[in-house]
Amino acid sequence: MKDRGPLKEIVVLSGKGGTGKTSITAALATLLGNSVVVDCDVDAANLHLLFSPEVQETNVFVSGHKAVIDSAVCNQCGRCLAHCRFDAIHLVDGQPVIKETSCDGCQLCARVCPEGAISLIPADKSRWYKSTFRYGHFIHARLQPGEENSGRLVRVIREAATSSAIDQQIGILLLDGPPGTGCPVISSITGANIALVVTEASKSGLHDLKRILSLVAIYKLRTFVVINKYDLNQAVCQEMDTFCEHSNVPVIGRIPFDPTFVTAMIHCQSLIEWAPASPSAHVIREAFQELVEQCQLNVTQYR
Amino acid sequence: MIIAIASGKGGTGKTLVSTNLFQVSLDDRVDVVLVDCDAEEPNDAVFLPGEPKGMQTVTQQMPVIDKAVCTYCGRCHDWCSYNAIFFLREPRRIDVLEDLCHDCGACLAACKVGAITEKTVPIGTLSMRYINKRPALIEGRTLVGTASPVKIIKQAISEAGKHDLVILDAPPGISCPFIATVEPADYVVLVTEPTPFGLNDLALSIETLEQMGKPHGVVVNRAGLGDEALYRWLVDKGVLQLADIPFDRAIASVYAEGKLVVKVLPAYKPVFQTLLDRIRAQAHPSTIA
Amino acid sequence: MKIAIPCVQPSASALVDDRFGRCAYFAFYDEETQQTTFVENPAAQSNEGAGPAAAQFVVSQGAEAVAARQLGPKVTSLLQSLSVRFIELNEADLTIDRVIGLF
Repeated sequence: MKDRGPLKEIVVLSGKGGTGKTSITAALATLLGNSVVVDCDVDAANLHLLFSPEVQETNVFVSGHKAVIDSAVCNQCGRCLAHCRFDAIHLVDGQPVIKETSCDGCQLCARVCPEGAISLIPADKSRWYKSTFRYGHFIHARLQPGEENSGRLVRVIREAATSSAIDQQIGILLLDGPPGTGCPVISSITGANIALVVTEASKSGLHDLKRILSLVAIYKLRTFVVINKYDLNQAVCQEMDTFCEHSNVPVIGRIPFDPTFVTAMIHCQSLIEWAPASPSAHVIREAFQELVEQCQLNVTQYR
Repeated sequence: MIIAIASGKGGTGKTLVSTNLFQVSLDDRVDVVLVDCDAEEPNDAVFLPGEPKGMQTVTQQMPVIDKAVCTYCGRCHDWCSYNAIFFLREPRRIDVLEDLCHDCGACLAACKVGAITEKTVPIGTLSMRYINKRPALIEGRTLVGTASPVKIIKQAISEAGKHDLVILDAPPGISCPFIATVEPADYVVLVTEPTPFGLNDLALSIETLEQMGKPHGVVVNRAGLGDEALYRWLVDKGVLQLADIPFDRAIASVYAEGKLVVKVLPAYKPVFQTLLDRIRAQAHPSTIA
Repeated sequence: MKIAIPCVQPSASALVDDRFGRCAYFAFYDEETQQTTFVENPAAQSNEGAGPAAAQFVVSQGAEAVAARQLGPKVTSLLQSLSVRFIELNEADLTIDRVIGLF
């Protein structure tokens, strides 16, 4: 019988988008050497651009159901219209029509229709993938634009990642979390042990940092902060330091404003690969070491 | 006229464009209102003066089951598509699992004995800010932990009402909150940056807007950073490029301080003014001749 | 006592499913008759709330205990309130007959 040991799950979060979360996740993946990486930002997945993954398995994700009205059967009684709370049914020349992007799939219209003219069809255009890349295994997804339930898709790919980690006997799961504080973020936090919050030294960054820290506090994760572009605004950076200190959250890295991240991105590499001797790479390496020590990560292949 | 400012990816400069566009419109004496629809991470208020005045609570309906009246027929449970009603006939048990409820009203419609009523529960807030006693900014904000901001977004937009120009600062991504914001817009401005991440996410957003049949154009932020791939793509796809905002550390720095670029760096004011003119021309193509 | 165990296939040699709400099948083991029956989990494909729906299903099938790797907070409190025992399986890769052998 395999002994899986405790699986450590690190989720990289940002609150606000564009703080460099994905670039930092990619750098951590490089430093870990062998891990299972999950791109939980299914709405706007980017990690695959740096990892050039080889897809091993493609899976269908049914995000929900959408109602359709058979106009040949419909008697235009308007009952569906009166019941829909999602404003998803409109009259087009007297004929009720479902607006797919507003439909929540609650099925109430179909249940109240006296003619049985409404049915529900699965929304099945989203996909998720199991891939391999140069530093291990990579689970990612593509949510069909406008489809819902990104929270559940995150749960699905997390489960796949956990079982991959067990199969491959890999002890560390690295998750690139979605921005915001909503449902997909909660799905990516649930089950994680460690949160690394990447923020940037701006007023709006500070604002979002407070929000995301209040969320992770609910889930009692071990939390660390990295301040990106710290030199953009030293006063805000200071304020962040003070706030984190009061919240008992260690700041384990301050990365300068550095266009090298973009150059690395254009070359489909992480910063650690592209510019291993750069000051930013140095900061990330130190932050990584701090994570390894404080969380007793079993990093066998430390680069 | 309603304009949504959106981007597939967060952090490309949506808020920068929204707030500065708002300011140049205001300077131009346009009757303008800005709506911060990024209800999970509202940020526009950081850039504008004033304290919030009117505060409203956004609520949803939540079913309440009167167990004395309930006959334990199980119909409400069968009608619920979200597993939000826990029901057992033996041993008798019925409960609403509140965090699974989508406020669709199916259980209420299902119950034949009137055992279900509804209570209102808060899911977010709307706040109003005024400049010179005129409504300037409406901010939607979810309570931390609220699963979907869609209802808050819709309410914020309807609260704005009719003005010559309503600017919607959209949430990032391409799922329901984004759709709810761009749906009522006459024109969508997508903000991106000339990097592989920016291009990838822009392509997804445009695919969505094309499906919806929404007219749209692109603002390239941090122009000069990254590479040429984005520009080639825009030309290939025949997507209108509305403006270039140069990559300038000074802009990033002003933004980080929570200040408006058009106020602190007046040299950039024409960029946003031209953008405003071009958007207006695009959104009302009939008026240009 | 009747015990529900989530499993990946409807057979005694099948592995325990790590998931509860979205497991493929439930094995119901009856301690008195020593019989095991397998039933497909109707909650597995739920868009949301699979855990509570699966809990409701196993209780409606007469289960008085659930043996599983882990349960979510919602399911845990529901089962507790219904006085259904939770037997935590601490070992990975257990098969259904090994779990039954524990009783």
